Amino acid sequence: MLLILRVLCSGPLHGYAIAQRIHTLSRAALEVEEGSLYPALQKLLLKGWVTASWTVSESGRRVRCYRLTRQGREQLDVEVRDFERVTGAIRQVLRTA
Amino acid sequence: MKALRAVAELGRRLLYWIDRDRRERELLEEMDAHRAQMADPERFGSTLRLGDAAREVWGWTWLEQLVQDLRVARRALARDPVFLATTTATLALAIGANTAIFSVVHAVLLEPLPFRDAGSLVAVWEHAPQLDQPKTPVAPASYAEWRVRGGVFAELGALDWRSFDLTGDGEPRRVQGLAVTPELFPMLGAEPALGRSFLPGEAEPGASRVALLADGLWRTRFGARRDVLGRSILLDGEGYIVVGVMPPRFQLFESYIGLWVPLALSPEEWRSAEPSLRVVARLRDGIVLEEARGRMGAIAAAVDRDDPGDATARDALLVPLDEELAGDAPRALLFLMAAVGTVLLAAGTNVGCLLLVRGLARRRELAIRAALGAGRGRVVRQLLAEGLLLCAPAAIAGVALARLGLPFVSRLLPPQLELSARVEIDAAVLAFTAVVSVLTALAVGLAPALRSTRGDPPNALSYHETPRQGRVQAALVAAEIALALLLAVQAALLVRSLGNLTGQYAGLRPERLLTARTALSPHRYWNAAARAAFYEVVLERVESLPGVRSAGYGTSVPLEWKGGGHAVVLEGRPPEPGRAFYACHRQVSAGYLETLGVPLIRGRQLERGDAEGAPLVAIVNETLARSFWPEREALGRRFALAEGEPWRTVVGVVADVRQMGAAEPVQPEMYLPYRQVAGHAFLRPRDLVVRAEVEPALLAAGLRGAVRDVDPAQPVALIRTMDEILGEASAAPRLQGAILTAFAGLATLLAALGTHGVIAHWVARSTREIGVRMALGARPAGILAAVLRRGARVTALGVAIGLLGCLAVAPMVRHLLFGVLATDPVTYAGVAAALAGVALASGLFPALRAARIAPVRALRHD
Repeated sequence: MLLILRVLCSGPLHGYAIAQRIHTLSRAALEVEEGSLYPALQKLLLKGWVTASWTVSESGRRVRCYRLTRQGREQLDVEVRDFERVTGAIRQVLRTA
Repeated sequence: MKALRAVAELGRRLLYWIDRDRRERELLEEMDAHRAQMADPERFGSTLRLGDAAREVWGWTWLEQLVQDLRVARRALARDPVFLATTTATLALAIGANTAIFSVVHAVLLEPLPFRDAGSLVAVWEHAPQLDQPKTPVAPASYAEWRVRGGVFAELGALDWRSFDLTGDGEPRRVQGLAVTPELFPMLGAEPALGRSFLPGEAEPGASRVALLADGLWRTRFGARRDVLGRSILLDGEGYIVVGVMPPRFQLFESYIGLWVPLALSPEEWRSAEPSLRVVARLRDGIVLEEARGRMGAIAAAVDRDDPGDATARDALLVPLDEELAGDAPRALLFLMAAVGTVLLAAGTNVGCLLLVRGLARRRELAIRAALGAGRGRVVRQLLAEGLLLCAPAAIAGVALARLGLPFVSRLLPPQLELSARVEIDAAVLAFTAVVSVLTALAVGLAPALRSTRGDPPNALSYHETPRQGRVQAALVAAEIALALLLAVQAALLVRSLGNLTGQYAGLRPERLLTARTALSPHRYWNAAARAAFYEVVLERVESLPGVRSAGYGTSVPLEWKGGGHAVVLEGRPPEPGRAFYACHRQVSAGYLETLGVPLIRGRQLERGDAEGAPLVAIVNETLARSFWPEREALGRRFALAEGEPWRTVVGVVADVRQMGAAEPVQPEMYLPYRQVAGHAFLRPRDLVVRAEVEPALLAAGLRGAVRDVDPAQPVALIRTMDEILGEASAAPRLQGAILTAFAGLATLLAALGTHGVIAHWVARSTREIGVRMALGARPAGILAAVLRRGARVTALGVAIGLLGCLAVAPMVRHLLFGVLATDPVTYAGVAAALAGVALASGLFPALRAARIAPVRALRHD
C-alpha cells in the first residue's frame, strides 16, 4: 500500500505500470504477486486515497489510470512516517542488542 | 473529521453497490489487460479469485450471499406448498397470539400512565390495624394533616364518590360522579378537551356550583354540542354550570364516571375521621417510595402522640398509582403471556421437527453442496435463511391476526384502565414481534441445520439414517406433547375454577332474577315516610305484574357494591383494644332475602311488621354468627350499630352469600329492616330484585312503568338479570379460560400432527424391514403393536415431562385458581389420559398402514 501510494506520488499510472515501477525501482528485489495489486487498489479507492479514470495508454491500450488525491498524499506522509519509525526502531535494536 | 471520513467511505460503498455490475466488469477487463501484457501470465493468479477478493473490499458480499440464500430457500420451499402453508399458518397463529397478548401487557405494564410524570404518583390509603381491613379510604382529617405536615408529598389530591339524578333534559338519569379537590387535575396534568378545569376557589363551601362532563356523558346526553359550556344542568334538582368537558381517554379509577364536581367540604367535615376519601399524591422530588413509606409512618406516630385520645390511629399506605390501577391484572396477563409463549414454543418445535424430517430427506442435496465446496457455515446459513423465509410471512400474517384480535384481547384490560390504556400495535409491539419472529426463525432453522451438516459428505451421500437422528425427532415430538399437556392442564384447571366461581351463586338461581337500580335522591326523599311509601308502592305494583313471583328492595345486590360496613357494638362484650366487630351493613325490605333465594338456616325471615315502633331486629349471615358469637347461639343475641344506639336482636341466621366477589372471603353481614334504621343514608335500599316466572327480559318495561307511575322523576338504571351481573364479574377469568383453552387445543393439534409425522416417517423408513419381518412370518397385529409401542414410548416420555412441568408452574398458577388445587390430581390424570389418547390415535393411521404392507412390495421398496 505504502509502495503503491509512493509510486503514484510522481504522477498518475495504470495498474501494469504500477507493478512495473515497483519492480524496477526496487531493482527487482521486490517480487510483488501482481494479481494482489488489484484488491489493494480497490481498497485505496474505497478509502478515497486514489481516483481512477479510463484513458488510452502510449501503446494504444484502454487502461485505467490511478491518481493520488489530497487525502492520499496525507496518508502517504503518515505511512512513510510510520514506516520510518518502525524501521528506525528495528535498526536501533539491531545496532544495540 | 473521523466521522466525516466514515460517512464519505459509506457513500463510496453505496455508489459501488449501485453501480456494481459495471465496476466488476471494469475490474475484470483491467486485470485481463494486465495479464495480457505480462511475460508470464501464470504469475498473475486466478482473476476470478482475485476478483472475489477485490469485491470483498467493498463489503457487500454478505448481502449478495443472503439474497442468494433466500432465493435458493424460496425455491426449496416452493417445491412443497402444503408444508409451506401449514407451517406458515401454525407460526402465524402463534406469533399473532403473542403479539396480541403482548400489546395488552405493553399497555398495562410497560406504558406509563397518561398522566404528567406518572412515575412519582401514588395512591394513598389508610390502614387501621384494629379493623380487619387491609386498606381503607382516607379520613378527611388525615388528609388535612398530611397537607399541613408535608415533607413527603409535593402535591396531593382527593376525591369522593357522588351520584346525582340528572334531570331537566330528557329521561331522568342517575349519573355516577366524583367530587375532586381542584388540585387533582393539574397534578395529573389532565386538561379538559373543552373549557377549563376547576379553580381553587370553587371548592370553598358556598361557591357557585360547577361541573366538568366526561366525554361519554357529553356525547350521549348532550349530543356532543360545544355550547354546553356555560349552560346550567340539574343535578339532584340543583343547577350546576358546565365549565368543561374532559377528553375521551381521561380516566382516574372507575370508567363509568359521568361528571366531576369540586369537593366542597365544610371546615368540620375536614376534621372528620370517617374514612371517605380516595387520595392520589405526587412524591416530592428525590423521595423514593420506601423512604416515603417510612416518613408517613413517622407522621402517623406523631399524629398519634399529639392526639392520644384518637382511638382510630391509622397508618398511611402508599401504593404506586400504576400498580393500584392495574390491580390483579398483571398476574393474569403474565400468566397468559407465558401461555402464548408456550404455544409459540410448541409451534416452533413442530415446524423444527418438520424441517428436520425434510433436512434428512435433503441430506443428499446438502452433501452435494458440501462436496462442491460449500463451507459448513454456508450450508447452515442456507437453512437459517429457510427458517427466516418461513417466519417472515408468518410474522406479517401474525400481526394482521393480532390486529383483528385487538378488540377481543382489550377485554383483558383491568377496569380502572379501560379507557386510558391504549391497546394497539405500535412500534414497541412491532419490535417485540420482530424479535420474537427472528428468534423463532433461528431456533426453527438451527436444529435441523446443525444436524444436517454433521457427518462427512461421503457418508451422507449414501442415504442411511442413524438411530440418533430418529431419536432427536422423537425427543422433539415428546417436547411437543409435554408443552401441549402443560397448556391443556392449565386450561382445564382454569375452566374448573371458573365452574367453582359461578357455582358459588347457583343457589340464587340467577337466571330468573331481574335487578334494577332506583337510587333515591337524598334531596327529594329526605323524609323517611316518603321513602317507605315509594318502596312499598313500587314493590306492590311490581309484584302485581304478570310473571312476577316476588320482589324486594335492598342496599345492593351481591357483587354490585363491595363497601358499606362498619364496626358494631355487641351486648355484654366491652370493646377490646385491637379488635373491632366489623360487619357489612345492608338495609332490606321484607321479602328481599326470600326473593334473592338466600336460604334461612335458623330463626325467621324479616316481616312487614318489622317496622318503626316494633322491636328492633336483624338477620345475620352464618359468618357473622360464627365469628361474633363463636361459642353460643346467635339467635336472640343483641348488638347496636354504634355506641349509645339502641340494641337490636338477631332473629334469623341466613346462609353466606358471596357479596364481595366469588373468590373473596365472606364478611360478617347483617340485614336490617330499612324502616328500623334512621341514619346511614348511604346504605338505604336502592336495588330492586324481582323473582320472575317468565323470561326476565320481558318484565323490564313493566318494571319501568311501575316506577314511573309512582314517581315520574325517578331514574331507573341497570336493569339486568343476576346472571348478567355474574357474567360481568367473571368476564376476565372466562376470557382467560377461553384463550387458554383455544391455545391448548392448538398445541394438542400440533402434538397430534407431530406424533403422526414421526410415526409415519419411521414406518416409511422401515418399510423394507417390516417387509422382511412379514416375509419371515410376522403377523400384521404384531407389526401394529410394534409400531404403536414406539408411539407409546414417545407419548409416555412427553406426558411425564409435561406433568413435571405442570408441577413446576403450579406455584405461579395457584393465585389464579379458585376452589381447585394447582396440582389437582384428577385434572392432571384426566388431561394426561386424554392427551395420550389423542397422541396414540394419531399414531394409529401410519401404524395401520405399516400392518398392511405387502411383503413383496416392501422388498422392492427403495
